[in-house]
Amino acid sequence: MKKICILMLMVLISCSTILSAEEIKGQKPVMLIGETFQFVQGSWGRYFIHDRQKNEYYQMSIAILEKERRDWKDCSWMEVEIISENNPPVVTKFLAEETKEGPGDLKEVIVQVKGYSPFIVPGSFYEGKDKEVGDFKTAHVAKRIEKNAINYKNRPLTVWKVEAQDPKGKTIDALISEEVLPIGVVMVESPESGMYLDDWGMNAKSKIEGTPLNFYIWLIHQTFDGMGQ
Amino acid sequence: MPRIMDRCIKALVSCVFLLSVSCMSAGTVNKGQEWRRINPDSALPATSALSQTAENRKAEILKALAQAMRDDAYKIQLKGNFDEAVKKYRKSLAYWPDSELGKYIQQVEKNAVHSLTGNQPKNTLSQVSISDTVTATIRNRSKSSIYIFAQNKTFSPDNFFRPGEIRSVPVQMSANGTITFYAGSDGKVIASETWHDNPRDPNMIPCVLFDDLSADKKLSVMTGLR
Repeated sequence: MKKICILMLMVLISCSTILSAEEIKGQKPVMLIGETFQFVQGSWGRYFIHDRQKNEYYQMSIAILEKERRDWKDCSWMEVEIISENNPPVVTKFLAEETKEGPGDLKEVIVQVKGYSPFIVPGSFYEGKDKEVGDFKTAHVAKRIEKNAINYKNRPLTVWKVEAQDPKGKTIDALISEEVLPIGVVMVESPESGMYLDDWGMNAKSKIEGTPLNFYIWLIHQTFDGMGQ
Repeated sequence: MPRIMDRCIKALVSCVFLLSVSCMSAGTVNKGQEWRRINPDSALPATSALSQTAENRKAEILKALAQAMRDDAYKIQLKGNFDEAVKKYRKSLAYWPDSELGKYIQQVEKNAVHSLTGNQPKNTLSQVSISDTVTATIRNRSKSSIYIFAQNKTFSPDNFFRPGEIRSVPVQMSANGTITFYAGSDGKVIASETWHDNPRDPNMIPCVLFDDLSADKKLSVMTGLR
């Protein structure tokens, strides 16, 4: 009996390692420009992103859902969906503190990998410096270069070509517009990645389906589902 | 109890299987990298639907930006300020190389009282080295993938352009200030063109367009303004 318990524990640990690694694999760093972010409820934007270092492309949607006061601070529920070529779509819904630079500290995070139930991410994943979830790379506008009135997707847009600096101090070229909610980015080009606006609008709705489970209960569910198959 | 044991053994076997698959994949990747090193042509980036749509969006944004600059340039041209109009037209070329606009700029320049080169202050010419690197804008207008590269480079994944792809590429000037661009596929150069328009001005950049349907020439190199 004791041997069986140890064996089961080993299986559980092995499976949790595999599952959590797979879950983290779907997460992608999100690039934001501090001065252009607007917490407008219901706004959404969809982008294509080219990770030049890995030569991977993916689609990222970002939305501002409902507002909430948490810990005496103004927060917004936000959602980021990543659709990549080699992994199933991942939706991350999070309650973030509203700051001038965009989303601040995360208060709660829910993740759903397509085909699985959603789960609540333990605080240890997004609290502290080495964040596994909510890795926002916020750049800052260093120089406004030129203003242009463009017509993109049959919609008039006033855009600014700017030079921005990423958190590591590297210069990135960006095209920004206050009319593109919520993140204000039209295009970002850097040696590491490229980000291109696909579409944007209002009336955003959550893409999380089902009731989120506690992470460890979720893990046990997945483990037993796997064993049952 | 035997059923539990059976499930545990199955789960363990699954874990070992997953580990084996990971090791096999890693091995395949390493072998693939070695094979690509020997056969650079095989290292072509995959043209997936996602990558193609992403490149299309990028091109649409750049085209929209270039169009806005052209419209502004035309308004300036109508006011008779040809120098400013040409500058603006050349700025648009830096975002969206277009051989028809290249020809049009030459016509407008003829009308200009002073050409751009004529307006360059003489003292700045000696200050700028002509062996510098410039950032060229390269656009593949054709419906097929192509390699486009500057002198001293050759066929490699770095200079592979998908259909419709447009991007900025740093290129090295030769000692006399010219840059020759080549386009080709399957290891064969099919077109070449040399850029030699005032390389001493660091604001001037080569804008390269590959268009295999062009009746004129497949590879055009124009001068854009940063």
